[in-house]
Amino acid sequence: MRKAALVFGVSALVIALLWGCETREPLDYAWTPTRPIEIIVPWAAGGATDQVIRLAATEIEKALRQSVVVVNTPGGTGSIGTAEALEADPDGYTWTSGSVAALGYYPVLDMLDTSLDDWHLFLAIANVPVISVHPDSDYEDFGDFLADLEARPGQVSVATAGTASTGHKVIELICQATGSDYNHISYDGGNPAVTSVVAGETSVTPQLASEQADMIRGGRLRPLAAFSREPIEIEGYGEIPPVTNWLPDVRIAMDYFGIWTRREVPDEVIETMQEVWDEYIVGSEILQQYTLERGAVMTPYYGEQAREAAWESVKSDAWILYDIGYAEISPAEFDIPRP
Amino acid sequence: MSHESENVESVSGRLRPQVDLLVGLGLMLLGIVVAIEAYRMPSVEHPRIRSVYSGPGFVPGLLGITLLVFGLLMLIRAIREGGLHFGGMGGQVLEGLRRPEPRRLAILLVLSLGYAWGLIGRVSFPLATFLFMVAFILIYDWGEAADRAVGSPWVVAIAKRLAGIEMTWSLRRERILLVITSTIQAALTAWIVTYVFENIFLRRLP
Amino acid sequence: MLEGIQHLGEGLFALVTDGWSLFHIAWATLLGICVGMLPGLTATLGLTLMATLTFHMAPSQAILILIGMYVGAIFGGSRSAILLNIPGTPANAAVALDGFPLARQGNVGRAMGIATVGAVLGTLIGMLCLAFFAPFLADRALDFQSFEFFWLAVLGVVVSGRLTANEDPLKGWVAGFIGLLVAMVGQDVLHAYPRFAYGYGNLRAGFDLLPVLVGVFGFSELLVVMKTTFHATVERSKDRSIPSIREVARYWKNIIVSGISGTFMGIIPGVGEDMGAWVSYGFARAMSKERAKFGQGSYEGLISSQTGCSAAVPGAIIPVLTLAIPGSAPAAVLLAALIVHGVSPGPLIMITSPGFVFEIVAMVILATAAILVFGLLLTRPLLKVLEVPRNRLMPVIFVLCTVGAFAVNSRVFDIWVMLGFGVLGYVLRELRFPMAPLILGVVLGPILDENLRRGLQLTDGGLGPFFTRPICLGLWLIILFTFLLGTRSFPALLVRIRNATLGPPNNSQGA
Repeated sequence: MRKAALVFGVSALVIALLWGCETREPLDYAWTPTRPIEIIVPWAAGGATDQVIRLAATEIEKALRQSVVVVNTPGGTGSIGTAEALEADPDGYTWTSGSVAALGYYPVLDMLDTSLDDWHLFLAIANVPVISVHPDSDYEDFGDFLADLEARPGQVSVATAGTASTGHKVIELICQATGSDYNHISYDGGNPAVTSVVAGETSVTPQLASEQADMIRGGRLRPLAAFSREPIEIEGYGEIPPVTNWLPDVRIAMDYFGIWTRREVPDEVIETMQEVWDEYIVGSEILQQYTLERGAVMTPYYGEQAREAAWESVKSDAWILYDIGYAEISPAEFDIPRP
Repeated sequence: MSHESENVESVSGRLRPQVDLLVGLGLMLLGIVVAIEAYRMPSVEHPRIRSVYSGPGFVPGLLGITLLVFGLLMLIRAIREGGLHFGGMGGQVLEGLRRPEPRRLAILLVLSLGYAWGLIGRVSFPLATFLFMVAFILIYDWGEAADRAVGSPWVVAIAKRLAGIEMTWSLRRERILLVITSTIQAALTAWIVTYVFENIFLRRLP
Repeated sequence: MLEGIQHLGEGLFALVTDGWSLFHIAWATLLGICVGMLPGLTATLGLTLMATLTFHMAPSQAILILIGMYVGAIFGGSRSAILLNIPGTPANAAVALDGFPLARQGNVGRAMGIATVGAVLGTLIGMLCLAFFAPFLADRALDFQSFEFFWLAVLGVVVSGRLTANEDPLKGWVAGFIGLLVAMVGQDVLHAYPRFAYGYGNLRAGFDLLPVLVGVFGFSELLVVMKTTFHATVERSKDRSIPSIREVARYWKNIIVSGISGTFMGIIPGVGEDMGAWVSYGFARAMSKERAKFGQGSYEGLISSQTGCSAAVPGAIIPVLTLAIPGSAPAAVLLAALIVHGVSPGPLIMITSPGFVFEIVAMVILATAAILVFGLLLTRPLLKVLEVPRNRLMPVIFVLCTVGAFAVNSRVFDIWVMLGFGVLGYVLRELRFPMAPLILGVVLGPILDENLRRGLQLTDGGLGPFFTRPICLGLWLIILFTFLLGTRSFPALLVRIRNATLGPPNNSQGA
């Protein structure tokens, strides 16, 4: 018993020490958090949002010298965790995160009554979707895929992370631009969707490059095109041509990932976070490393710049969901104009 | 060990076919309700649902039908085993209710609901936990303290108390000790649980 | 292969000679055991917390701590399962099945000792597979697609229903299907339709597994214990808690079969430690000469289930390293942590950093040594739990159940779920329904739902692949057989066929 108590005590001490190292000289930020800051990730641990936010959290931790706790609250396409942050006290200690476009489709899908105006946005990176196939696929390039979509409408199986996921919206935008149709196979998250193409269960996946990077590098997936206007680069693989080489007019909106908190938080919190963004996120080495390896783009925006960028995604996402019949309420009713 | 199995025997053992009959009926009802609800979920009429089998109601519907079949099997089996003979059932149920178990269960439910609904979220977590712990230990141990002191079953002890029989010194000592130790235990539990969850596991508490 | 052994040796040597590594693995494993023991805190939660805490540490140290936490938590859950009949993590539900009856019979020490040895050997078998067959086994994981997953989910419910309700399989299956039904509540994966939610946001998110687990095993156990006026006293255990080699050697067949089947269940993505335990338990029962003892306190059952769930841990790490596909929920967190620490697991890992796989193996060996030491040392102190008077212990357990249910998602709704399922569980237990299949049903419900509909969507409604693909064929035949054996007429028919072909048996061994 005494031995157990001793071991227990020692491990408690270690944990206390791990904390202790945080306190150093005082900082000259307008706001000094006195207890841990919580960032809600409304998706499962290990997913695309989770990875990015945990990296950003380490930078914020470094800047504010206060621990930042990442809490995974998955469920309801991310609306459960977001609702929690919307109801929390606006004191700067509770943030939520995800892909910013979700704030636009929650009201349209009747999941949560919110809009961009409810939040202060701090964006970190934009993930680029990539359309990939199994290495043995017959498609030589993206053009072959488009031709097959038209030749066999509703037959080509496309794996996505589920309704309203980025992959789902990408394939719908492609079909909208070409007037074709596909067989939607949804999975519980981006990684299983990508795996299904590797295993040969489905033909194509339009999920995020960050979810496919390892498989692409390992030769288990062959990327056909990046859903962007510029080619993207994945370290260890090379360049992926943009989808606009084949579809110059397709509507492309970036998928921004970041953190946000309620509009009502005190000004000093926002000022402090803006300084943190300028000093730590813009030049963050770990985030840059992440974007290089995962084919993502740094977008360290806040304030008006973040809002403008986010507004484009919101408009695009809300309308595509309405056009394909998933959203029953028109985005126009929430003053979201057609892009 | 043996006590528990005797109790279970007395509640559902002797009446097993009759109880199974009712459970079977209940399952069938559940199955039907689930199947109907599943049928009412959106299906092919929704623009993006192409086929019956990919609609959200497909699997719940299958589960509802399976439960209906299972319920029917239980019903048939219970009837074969004589589940339709309800004679004497009322008496046995009454007998079961007169035993101390239902009351002890009711007390526990009141305590736990009081804690989860009445205290948590209204007062701070450590205080809520402290109050619950003290109440729990005192309510259940009060009688058993008498048991320990007098050496008679606690039902008898309570009867004595109700009848106004004076407490012996040893009983009083036992109870004072009980109040003190339960307060200490409650305070310690409340503090340790709060500390461990908030500071080591970094979880919020209600 | 020689190179591999060399890598492994180097890795182990580096770890053992580094004081900090030993220290980290010791406290991480111990903390893991504690997390595993507390109802409501699971391996997934423990790993998530540790991933956050170890952010600033050197990658190798951080990963070491995570592995210790993972191995410790899956083992720790068996302690509360044996002592209190409350499995600390869903993976240990099968351990409670025989562990708790053994404890009630006064063999607590021996049961805990045997379970410890089972966990250690299971981890070692899984680890051997990890070390030598990682690249090969990882590729097999991709053979499991929607069709196979559907049958696997059905198999889980059918087999655990059969195993836990020996005398009345029908009730086991009903419990399993009720579990599946519980899993249907909430937004569906394919179309995001909120099933059985009726406009409530919390129901839209569905019932979380953990509050249901804590309710069904924790709160309902509390109701069962507190109901009776008499205190079921456990005989003071005088048995030895450190089993002799001969005692363990008796179960060598069970250990090997469970170790391999557990590892395999771990490898299959999305199917985790719980299925590892159940499948091993099923094999053990099928192989056993003392089948009647299962569920009443069988050492074979105990050691098989614990070996199976512990073997699934290294099993689940295999696809994480070689394919970047997690084999279980905690393994998903491990994968995320690896990526965050700059290790990129995936198909290239055997080429880019072959030493890393063996470093992980060395870490698993160290964590296994730690659970062996703690498991045997802590048995005596833990036995004290049983000597605490019931009226003092139970309120603490209830407080832990409440906090545990809340801590998962910080939702007050989850406390209600815990209470509700506790009462439901109590009623079902009184009616002689086993609880373990219900929990497995909740775990497997989404897998069954998604994969059945996805498979049908892929085939455009065709049922062919569900029955003709090789793995599917094996799975549904086992399911059919399990069902038929649960009926009354089929086993009798088998006996008649055997008698007709071979003549009546000389000594009745029981069919």
